[in-house]
Amino acid sequence: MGPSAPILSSSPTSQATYSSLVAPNPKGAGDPKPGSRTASTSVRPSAARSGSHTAGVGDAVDEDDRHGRSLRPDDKIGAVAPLDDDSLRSIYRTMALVAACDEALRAAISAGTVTMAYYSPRGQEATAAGFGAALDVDDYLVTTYRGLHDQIAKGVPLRPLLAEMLGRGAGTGKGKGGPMHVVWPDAGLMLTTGVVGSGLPIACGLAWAAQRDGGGRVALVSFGDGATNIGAFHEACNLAAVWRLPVVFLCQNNRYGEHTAFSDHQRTTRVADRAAAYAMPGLTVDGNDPLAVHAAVHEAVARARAGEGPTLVEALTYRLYGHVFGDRMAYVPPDELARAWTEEPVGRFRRRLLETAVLTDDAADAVEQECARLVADTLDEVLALPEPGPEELLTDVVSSGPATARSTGG
Amino acid sequence: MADAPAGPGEVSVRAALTRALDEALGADERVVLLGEDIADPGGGVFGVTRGLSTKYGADRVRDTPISEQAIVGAAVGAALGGLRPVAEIMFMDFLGLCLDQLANHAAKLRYMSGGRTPVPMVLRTAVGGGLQVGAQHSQMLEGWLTHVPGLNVVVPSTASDARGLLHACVADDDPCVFIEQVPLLVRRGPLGDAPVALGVADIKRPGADVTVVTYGRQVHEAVAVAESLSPAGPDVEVLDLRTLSPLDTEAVLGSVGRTRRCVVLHEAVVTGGFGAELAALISEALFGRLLAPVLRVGAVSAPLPYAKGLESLALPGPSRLLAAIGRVTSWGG
Repeated sequence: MGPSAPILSSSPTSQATYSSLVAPNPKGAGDPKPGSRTASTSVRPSAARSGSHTAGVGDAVDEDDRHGRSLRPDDKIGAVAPLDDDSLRSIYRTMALVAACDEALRAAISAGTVTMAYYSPRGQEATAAGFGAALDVDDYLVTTYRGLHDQIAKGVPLRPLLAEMLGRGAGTGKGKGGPMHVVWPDAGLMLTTGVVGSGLPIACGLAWAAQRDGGGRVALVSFGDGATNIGAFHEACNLAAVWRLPVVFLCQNNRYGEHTAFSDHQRTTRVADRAAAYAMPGLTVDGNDPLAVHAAVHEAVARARAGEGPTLVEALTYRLYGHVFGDRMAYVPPDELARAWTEEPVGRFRRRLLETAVLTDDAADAVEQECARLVADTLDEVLALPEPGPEELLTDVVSSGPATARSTGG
Repeated sequence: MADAPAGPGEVSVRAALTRALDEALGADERVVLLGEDIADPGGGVFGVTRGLSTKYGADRVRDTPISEQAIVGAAVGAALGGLRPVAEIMFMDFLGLCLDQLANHAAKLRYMSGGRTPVPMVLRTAVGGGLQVGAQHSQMLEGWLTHVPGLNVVVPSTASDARGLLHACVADDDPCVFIEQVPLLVRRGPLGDAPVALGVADIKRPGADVTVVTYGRQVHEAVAVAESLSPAGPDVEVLDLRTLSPLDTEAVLGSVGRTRRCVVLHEAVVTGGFGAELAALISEALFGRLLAPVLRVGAVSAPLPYAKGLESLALPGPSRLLAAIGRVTSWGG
């Protein structure tokens, strides 16, 4: 497999686990065994972290080693907090809620009930649920326009979230921001940006504030693989490394930057490799496995809280519905998409919880039904809410005050 | 560049800025500074922050890599996180490197969040023609900023205003761009203690016949031109806007309503500049009352040239201002 080969193209069979798809060498790097509640086996350390390892440990030589780095696929990324069954069920519910929300929104847009530019997170639920479970409520989150899963996983309440997406006055931004600009400071969500890559420097600033505050808070910034080619990514990684900021850079590598495939937009095979340029640990994990993501982010958060600086975590996942609603995905090879659907994360995690008897079939059904009902009820409720009134037009441009009021013109 | 000789009790604009930052850091633990080379021993490329990292610590007065997006983005994030950051962008020309953070984020986060995430930050930046540093280190770009709702844009002209306005910016709950014209840094003046509010213009020289609406360094050029006119000549009022956003519309219309003639003067290129906004504002409000059209004086539409003679020709100077004053006072006559 050459360095620029698409990550998913090495699938040996359609039955392969997602981990074996994303990690060409299966030895020790396969899907966690049923019942495993940690995901260390699917976490791959990148150069900066594994610098002390020798190349070619056992059979664990793959294309990464040919770049002159070494790794040990069974390398534990540290003490992973075990998750109890309630936490596992909670992660599952988060994923189910995201999927239900996505389903309802796509249906509403298709039916013409709702009009918006919608960037579906379907397929990336595990990444969000995994990092959400690794963060405290007052940890900061910065995300992007494809952020519904992140917002739900961080704990943004559904009603103001959907109200914002539908442009209602009861929305998180009074309907003035829209789906690309949801914030909810009570849950630590400080920014959703519509500009690729721009959240990273802002996360650095939040982390600086947290560092000065001394309370141990961290900032996680979520972005796509496409964002790793923009200057802001590199400036932010460098600043965070130099200042040892408590930041987790979480790249949701969903294989496409808008319509351009990963292998066509960068020469590296792992976004996490870029961490080495900033002397920062970089990890690549199976982003369709919430426990792998949780483990990696848990470790990164622990480093950040301990004053050891930033970490770049790359979660390999897939964008199942393309860039924006209505995207016909003509640029996606059909077999690649079909394969990605076999690793659809909500169903996959459900199967795992059933296998490990954390959930019964009935209980899993009940969770999904409860989520679907909650979303449907909330959507109905929000649809009946009014848009913001005209008095909102010039409110919040600047803080109110006699001097600034003169500047609004009109 | 040494500061100009002092009169009794007078300080340079640079010293006034340093003092304001010192006072802000001393008064509020949330105030932090970041920028390229702002820490000691240099204390900034123009020395405005000299001594502050020594006094308050290098983690509060913090050097950054040469990373304008990271500087402004980190300031935005720090403001969201409860700090009162004062970022420095070494030259205003470099705003092109970080305009996304300023225009798409700092300026808009309050509005897009329905007021949940205000961004109380200051961005100080140095600029100014006349120093022969060429077209990438000289541009007055305030027109880029005033076009973006949500940004305060401040251009002080005196030491006292510099200190007062910088305090006002740090105290303000919205992003402020504070423009420091390099040739002004050595200019000395008295340092008053009166607070200066954003959005309040100041008549620097009263007059009856024509108003020159201006800001920053051109205030002094306008006053000098006004003083140079003979007692029989037009009596020129010089209105110093001090802040472009928010704009003191009442003061502008009040002054021009009295004098009924106006010349707008700024160092920026005339075409598409803030003077066009002022001319439109005045014309719309006072059309029937004006005795002459509002004239604009500013830089010519060319990148600022390096050669001294050409640079002088490009920038507005006393002769162009005098000519404009002459035209508006003799209009129709």
